[in-house]
Amino acid sequence: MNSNFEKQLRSQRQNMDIEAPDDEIVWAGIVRKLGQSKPGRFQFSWKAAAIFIFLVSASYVFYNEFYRNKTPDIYNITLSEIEPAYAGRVTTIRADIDAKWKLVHQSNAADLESLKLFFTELNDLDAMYREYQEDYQSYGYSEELVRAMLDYYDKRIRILDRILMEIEKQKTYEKRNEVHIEI
Amino acid sequence: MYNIAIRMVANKMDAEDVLQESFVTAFRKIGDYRGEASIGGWIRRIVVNQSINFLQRNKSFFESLEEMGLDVRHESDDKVSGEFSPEKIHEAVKSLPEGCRVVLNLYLFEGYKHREISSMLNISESTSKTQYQRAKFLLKEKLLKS
Repeated sequence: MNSNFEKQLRSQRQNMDIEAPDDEIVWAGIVRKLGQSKPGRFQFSWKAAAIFIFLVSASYVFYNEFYRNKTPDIYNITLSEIEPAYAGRVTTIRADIDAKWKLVHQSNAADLESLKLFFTELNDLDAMYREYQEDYQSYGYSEELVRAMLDYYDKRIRILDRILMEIEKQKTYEKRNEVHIEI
Repeated sequence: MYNIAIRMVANKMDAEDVLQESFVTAFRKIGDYRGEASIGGWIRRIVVNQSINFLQRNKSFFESLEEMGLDVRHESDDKVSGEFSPEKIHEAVKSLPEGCRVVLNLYLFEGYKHREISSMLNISESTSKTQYQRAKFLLKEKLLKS
């Protein structure tokens, strides 16, 4: 049976991830490289970073298992393109999101493990947004879709707010502990 | 992530090095992540860029990109008989010549456009297209022979 070669290769993409690295060697190298650049502080924080990146990568792989095999172009469509009337509002919301992300990064949260759930929620939310983009590709414009996409931005902001609150909580807790020790 | 790296550099130890560099870069540049795309996609782009950086350190990489002229022989029919297993495809991709292998990975498996590939590898768009045709031709030959 004749089939399209390129299509066949693309369709097998997800199943081609068959090799695994030597985890010990890879992590040892990461620790060494991080340790070389900034001794002291990084000795502790590489573990948190490693957990964070591993969790994100794992959820990304999981997500891909179910949602990839689709042409990537459709995921470039934005709400502003779908509904130009919302372009201004979307720009404001995105600026708000960027500002909150900046705060998250600047906060240098030590306990990334406790933020795991929030990052998982953000990943789930992204997956949902991609579904909306697919729906737009398949069924075209609808008010419900535009509302759902706006709702995505609201939820994203709420999750970022919760992350910031959690970080603030951690810092307050650390301060209290310091006071206790001083006493 | 590791499989992206190994398909790009085609060597276990090199791929592990690329993976290490990618995670170190991701950690150091986490402040640059703006949350526009998924963080997994962001890390994936880092892996792709690190693989290219790794390959570009070798002069042979540039030679392998330029060694192919516009050979029409590789404008082959895209039909193929039979199905190939993912394992066979993965191994066959790794055995392709360096330049065309990278172009094939970027275009076919990572979803980059020829325009983007040309700027990533500092080659012309037509070289990217030619290398892609060449990679597909060689890949098909390898798979049919295996």
